[in-house]
Amino acid sequence: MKDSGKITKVFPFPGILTTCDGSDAIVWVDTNITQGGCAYPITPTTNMGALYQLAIANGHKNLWGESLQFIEPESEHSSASACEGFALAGGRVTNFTSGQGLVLMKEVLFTISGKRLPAVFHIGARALTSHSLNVHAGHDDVMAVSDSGWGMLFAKNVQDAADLALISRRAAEDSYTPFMNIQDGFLTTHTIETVRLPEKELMEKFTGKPEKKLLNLFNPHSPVMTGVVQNQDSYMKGKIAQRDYYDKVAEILQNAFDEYYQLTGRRYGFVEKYRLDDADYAIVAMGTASETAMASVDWIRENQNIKAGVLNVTSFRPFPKKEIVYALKNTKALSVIERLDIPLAADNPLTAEIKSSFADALINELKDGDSQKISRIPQIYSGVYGLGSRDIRPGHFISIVKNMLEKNKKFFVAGVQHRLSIDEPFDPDIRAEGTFCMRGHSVGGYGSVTTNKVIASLVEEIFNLNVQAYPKYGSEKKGLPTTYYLTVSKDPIRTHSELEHVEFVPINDVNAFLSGSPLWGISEGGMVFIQSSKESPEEVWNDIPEHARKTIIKKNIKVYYLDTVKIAREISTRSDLQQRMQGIVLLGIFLKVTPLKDEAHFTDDALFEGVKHSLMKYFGKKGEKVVDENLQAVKRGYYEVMEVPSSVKTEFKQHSIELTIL
Amino acid sequence: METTIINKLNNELIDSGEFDDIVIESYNKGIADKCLAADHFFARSEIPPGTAAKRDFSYIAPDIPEYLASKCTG
Repeated sequence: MKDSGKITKVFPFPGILTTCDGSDAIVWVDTNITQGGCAYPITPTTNMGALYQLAIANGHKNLWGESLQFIEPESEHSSASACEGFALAGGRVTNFTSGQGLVLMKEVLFTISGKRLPAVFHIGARALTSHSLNVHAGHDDVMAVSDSGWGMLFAKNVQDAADLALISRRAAEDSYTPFMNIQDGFLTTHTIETVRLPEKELMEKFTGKPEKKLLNLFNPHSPVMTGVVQNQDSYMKGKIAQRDYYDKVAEILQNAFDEYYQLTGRRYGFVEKYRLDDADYAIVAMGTASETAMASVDWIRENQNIKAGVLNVTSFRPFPKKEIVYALKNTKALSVIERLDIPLAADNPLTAEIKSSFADALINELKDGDSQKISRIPQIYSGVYGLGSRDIRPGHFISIVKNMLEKNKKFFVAGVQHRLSIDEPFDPDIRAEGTFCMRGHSVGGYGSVTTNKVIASLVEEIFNLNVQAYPKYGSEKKGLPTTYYLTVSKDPIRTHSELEHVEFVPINDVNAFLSGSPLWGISEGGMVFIQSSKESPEEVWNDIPEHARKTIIKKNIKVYYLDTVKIAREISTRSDLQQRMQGIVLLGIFLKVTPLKDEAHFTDDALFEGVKHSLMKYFGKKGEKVVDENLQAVKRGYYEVMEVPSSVKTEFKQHSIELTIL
Repeated sequence: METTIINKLNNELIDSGEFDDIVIESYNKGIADKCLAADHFFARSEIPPGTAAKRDFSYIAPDIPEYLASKCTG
């Protein structure tokens, strides 16, 4: 296809443009291509199992018209065993797990790989419970099972998670090797992003009908004994002979990457190089941090004139020794950052394998025999970051590069104060021009998280913009403070960090000013919305603490208010939905006060048509009445929200002044 | 099961004829440990059905124990 003189390649399956989180993406793929799932619920992959079961309950069939099956046994260990049985019987099976659940499976993972069963398990990588429990992102769970003979692919965002679900399935079945498709817990599993989901036709073509691809070892007409006992005469022979399978995995995976690119235009590989061709300094990472690093090195190059680059390691198993050495060998230094810490090891696992790869290359022993012998090894720094979803931000990457420039700490930590810390108190706003960010401060159970998802979906569908929406989940649930984030941009959104540079701050309870700093990082001329039952702007203003009022005046921030609780009570006929519906009112307020509608030249009618479509996506299954009530809530928020006028916004409380006069 | 898959199964996992001729024969001759290499079939270590019938363990405890009902408990 020719476009402005350039020849643009057209790919047959560009994907279905939509918004969803990493869990939705996996369920979209696996309810279409698998025949069954066996899983035990564990945060943050519970959603995947629940949505898979929901599809079954709704009578969903896979692409070949087969009914799906789901088994939820009594533990993750049993769920892995159930998958083993399913796969032995020639079924295409899936599993969703995380953290302790994955570690509990470990015994079974070896038998699945040993029997060459090409299952694919989807992992929401989560920190393991050690000194305390944490349900958020960590890589110690997946690294704890990295010796079990499985392929391991890491997604850096929702798009990767969807695509790698197919690529890992194809590679698994072509190589008779099970694969884990890994995404960061919550940071990807629960983050709504703009994504191109694989078309059904693509999935059917790329994976093929299960019965034509898989071996049934439980067929009574062709019986075999599997998983036998072997002694000194045989066991080692079998274990060594498995190398015949493993030696082919890399080539098969490469073929899957290549064919997927030809079909979709989306290129994946063992590693993803970003601005490394001329880089002096490199950051090496896996998962979401890689993409935040990519956005950060753009800023570093432009503002600090340092040639920095990023290597995103997509395939940890098979480990791409050759590709990593080739990508990094010309750098002066590289920092390998890892979302886990194993203090008694020689190094954390990715660092250790990269050092091993360079050592092999130096003595010209790279496996393929086609490597160039290298004469030097770059300085290799190793760092720990993001344990339990500890925020990793552009400022950290600036510090990591500075640490290499100054030849400072060979082992460091990013994100906490410690003797090994390298953090600098500098965190620039690296967002693309025109990016709009919202950080909401609410209470769990108020519907704000759902509203955030609806807003993200709406913004993508109506305004054709890229979105990223996620809440700062805690283990705690309803009734406690919740923070949620939304980013809207014309450009792809690459940072996976908490939002500290924002334009709009909705606050569901004015008491948020007392327990935190909700105005932190708000831009000059930004906006605040406060849920308030007060009727006059003076009363609303007087409820705001003095320190916050000073910030509002200093930064010329607009203050909006409305009693969304009252509106929700007036609209909803169901008491159980009233609490949640106050969040939906915020959607109307968002549309009113943000510049998106005006920039897109939308009429109110066109806007609300789009709103209804998005509401259908989230509430359609609850019935038309619920959708209509939500739409009414949005409209009331849109038309009834009020602004505290400038004349009211004085630094001192009105009643204080009155007292003085008296 | 489709014929193609059965063939694939036989070819990739087990060749029953070869298993009888080579594996069982080697064990029967007592040379399996030294002679059998870590080949493709060892990787999966699947075993065809009924192979016990082709091994001769008659030299192990050839006498059938006498059943003494009076000494049984319960």
